[in-house]
Amino acid sequence: MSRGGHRARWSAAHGARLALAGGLGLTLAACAGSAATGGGASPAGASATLEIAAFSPFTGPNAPYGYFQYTGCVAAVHAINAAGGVTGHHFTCTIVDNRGEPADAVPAANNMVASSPHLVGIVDGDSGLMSATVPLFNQAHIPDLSAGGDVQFDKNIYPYFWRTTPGDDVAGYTLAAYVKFGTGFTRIAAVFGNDQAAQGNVPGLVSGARHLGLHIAVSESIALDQTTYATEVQKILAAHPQVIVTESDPQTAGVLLGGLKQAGWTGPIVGTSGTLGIDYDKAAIAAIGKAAYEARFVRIIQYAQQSGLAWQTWKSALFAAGSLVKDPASDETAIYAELPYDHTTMLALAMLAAHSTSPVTFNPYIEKITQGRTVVHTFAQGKAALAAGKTIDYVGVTGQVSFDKYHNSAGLWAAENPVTNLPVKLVSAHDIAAAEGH
Amino acid sequence: MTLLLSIIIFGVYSAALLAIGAVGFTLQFGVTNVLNLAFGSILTACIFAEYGLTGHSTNLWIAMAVGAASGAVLSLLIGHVVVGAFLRRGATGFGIAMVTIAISLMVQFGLEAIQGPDILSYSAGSQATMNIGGVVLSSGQLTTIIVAVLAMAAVQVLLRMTKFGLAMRATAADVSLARTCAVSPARTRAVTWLISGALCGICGVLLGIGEGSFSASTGSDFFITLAAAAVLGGIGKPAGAMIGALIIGIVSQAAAAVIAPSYKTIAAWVILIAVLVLRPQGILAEFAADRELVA
Repeated sequence: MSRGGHRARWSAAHGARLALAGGLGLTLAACAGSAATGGGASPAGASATLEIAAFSPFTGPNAPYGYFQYTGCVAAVHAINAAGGVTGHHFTCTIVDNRGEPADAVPAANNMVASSPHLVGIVDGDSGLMSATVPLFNQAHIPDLSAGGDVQFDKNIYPYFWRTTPGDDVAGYTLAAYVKFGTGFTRIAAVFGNDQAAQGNVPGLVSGARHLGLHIAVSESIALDQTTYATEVQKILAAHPQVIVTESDPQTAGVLLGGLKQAGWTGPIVGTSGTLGIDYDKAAIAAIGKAAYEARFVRIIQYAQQSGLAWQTWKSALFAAGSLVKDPASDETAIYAELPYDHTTMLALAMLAAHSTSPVTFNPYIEKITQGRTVVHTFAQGKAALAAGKTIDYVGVTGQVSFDKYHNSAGLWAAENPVTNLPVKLVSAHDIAAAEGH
Repeated sequence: MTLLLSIIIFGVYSAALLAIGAVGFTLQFGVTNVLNLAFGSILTACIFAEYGLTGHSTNLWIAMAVGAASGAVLSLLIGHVVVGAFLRRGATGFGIAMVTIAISLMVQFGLEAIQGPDILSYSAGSQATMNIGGVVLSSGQLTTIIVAVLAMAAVQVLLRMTKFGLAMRATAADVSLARTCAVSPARTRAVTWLISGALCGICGVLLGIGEGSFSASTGSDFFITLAAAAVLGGIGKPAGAMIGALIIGIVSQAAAAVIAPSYKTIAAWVILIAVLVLRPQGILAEFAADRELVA
C-alpha cells in the first residue's frame, strides 16, 4: 500500500515553525516564474542589482522549506543593502520553485541559469535534489551554498558547492552520541523510512553505535505511507529496544507512532531533523497525544545560538525586511531561515574580499572569509574590516564555519523538545567525535 | 505466534480498507464501462468534506455517513454530469479516462490550493483497543473490518438478490439487451455512480481515521493500490476485488514480517504481476467483449 513520493530532507534544523509557511509559499510561488530576471555567471554591470536565488520548493508538500530559504535570503539582503551593498551593487532575492522533485528541479535550474544574467549565488538545501542540480550550478559557475545533507557530497568534487551543515551520515553519528551520552540506554531500534533522505542517517547511526558500545536491537527500513505498520511494530517490540530512533515523513510517522502506542510502547523516541515541522508535530500529536510527544520525544538537530551580536543582527534584519517576511517572530529561531541568511551574507562578504562580483573570481573567497584573523558577526562588521585591509573570519548566526577540503563544514547539535522547541541537551563535538570513532 | 497473528489480523485490516474502495471502483467500472481515474481524488475530497462539514466528528458512524453522502454526490456529479456530457458527445473510453485524470488533478490541486500543503490531523470514534492473542487492535481498525464485511455482503446481496442488482448485471453484460428487457441503462448507471461514490466516501473516512491525518494527495496515492486490488481480482468484478484486496493485504503484511518492511509493497506488486501472467483477465473476470459506452 505504498503511497510514496519524493520527500525533501534538509540536513539541519532548529526551532522552526513551518505552520504559516505553506500558504505564503504558494503565494510566493505564483511570482516564481517571473521573479528571476537576471542570470548567468558573467560579471554584473556597473549598477545592476545582483540576484541570489532561493532554489527551493515553493509549492507542493515541502513548500514551507522554500519559505524559510526565502526568508533567510531577504533578511540578509536587507542587511547587506542597508550597509551599502557590494561595490555599488545592491542585492535581491529571487524565488526559483523546484517543487522538491528532481523532475521539476532540473528544468527549473536550467531555466534559472539561462535566464538570469545577474545571478551571483544560490541558496538551497534539499538533499534529494543535490545530485541532480549541483552539477548544473557548478557547470554554470554559480556558487551554491547549501543546507542539504546528501552524503554523496561528504566528498564533494564541485568547486562551486559549499555546505555549512554536515552530511546526513554525521547526523546519524549524532543520534548515536545522544543515545549514549544523553539517555544512557544501550538497545536501539532504528526505524527509518526507506527514502534516500531518512536512510542517509542509518550508516552513521549503526557505525556510531558500534563505536560507542551500543546495540542496534532492530533496524527497520519501512515503506512510506502505508495504512498500517502493525506488523513492523510487532517486530520492533519483539527486539526489546530501550529507545526508538526514527525519521519518516509526517503521515508515515502518524501511522507508525499510532501503531507503537497501540502496541503499548511507552519508551523514548529520538527523531532526526527530518522530523521537524508542524506537519510532523500534528501527525505525532494526533498519534500519541501532546503530553506524550512532549515528554518522550526529542529531535536531534543542528543548534544555533539565540543571543549575541550575530543573532541580534539577524533578528533585526528579519523584522526590518517588512512584508517579505510573513512571521518574523516565529522565524527568528528557525535554522532553516538562519542558514540561508548566513549563506547570503557569506556570498556578499566573499565578493567584497575578492573586490569582484564575478562568481568565478569570488568563489574561492567563500572559504577565505571564514579563515581570517578578525572575527566578524555581521555583514557591516565584515565590510568595515575588509575596508580596513583586515582578513575576516565570519561567524554568523549559525556559528563558526570551517570548511574542509570538500567544502563541508559541520555545526553544533542539540536534542530539542518538539513542543517547546527548546534544547534539552547539547550534543558536543567531543561526543560526536567519539561516535565517529575518533 | 504473535507475529503470525499480526500478519493475519492487520492483513485483514489492510484488505478491508482496500476492499471497500476497490469494490466501489470495480462495481462502477463493471456497470458503466468508464475507467474512473478520479476515484482517488474523490476519496480525498470525501475526507475533506467530512472534516469540514462535521468539524471533525467524534462519532465514527456519523463520519462514515457524511463521507458516504459526500462521495455519492461527488461521484454522481462527475459520473453522470461531467462524464455523461462527454459520452453524449461520443467520447471514447480512452478519452473518458483522460477526462477523469483531468478531474482528479483538478480536485487534488484544488484542495491543495485551498488547504495548502499541510496535513490535517483526523480522528473519530473511540480510542479503545482490544487485545487478541497479544496483538492490539483499535476500535477504528475493528470497525473498518466490520464495515468492510457488511459492505461486501450488501453488495453481493444487491447484485444477486435484488431486481436492481439484476439490472446492474444486465447493463454490465449487454446494454442493448438490457434495454429490451425494460432496464434503463441511464438510471442504472446513475445509481451505480451513487453507490460507488458512497463506498469511496466510507473508504476515505476510514483511511483518514486509520492514518490519523490526511492531505490533498492521500486518496490519489492510496488509489494505486486500490486499483491494483480491483485489477487483481478481475476488473469489473466486485467479488474479485475483495479477493484481490485480501491477497494484497496479507501478502504485504507477510512480506513486512518475513522479508523486510521495505519489500511489502514490492511483494504485493509481484503477486499482482504473477497472477496477471497466469490470468490476464484477473482472478474472477472473464475476458470482456467490446462493450458499449452509453451516457
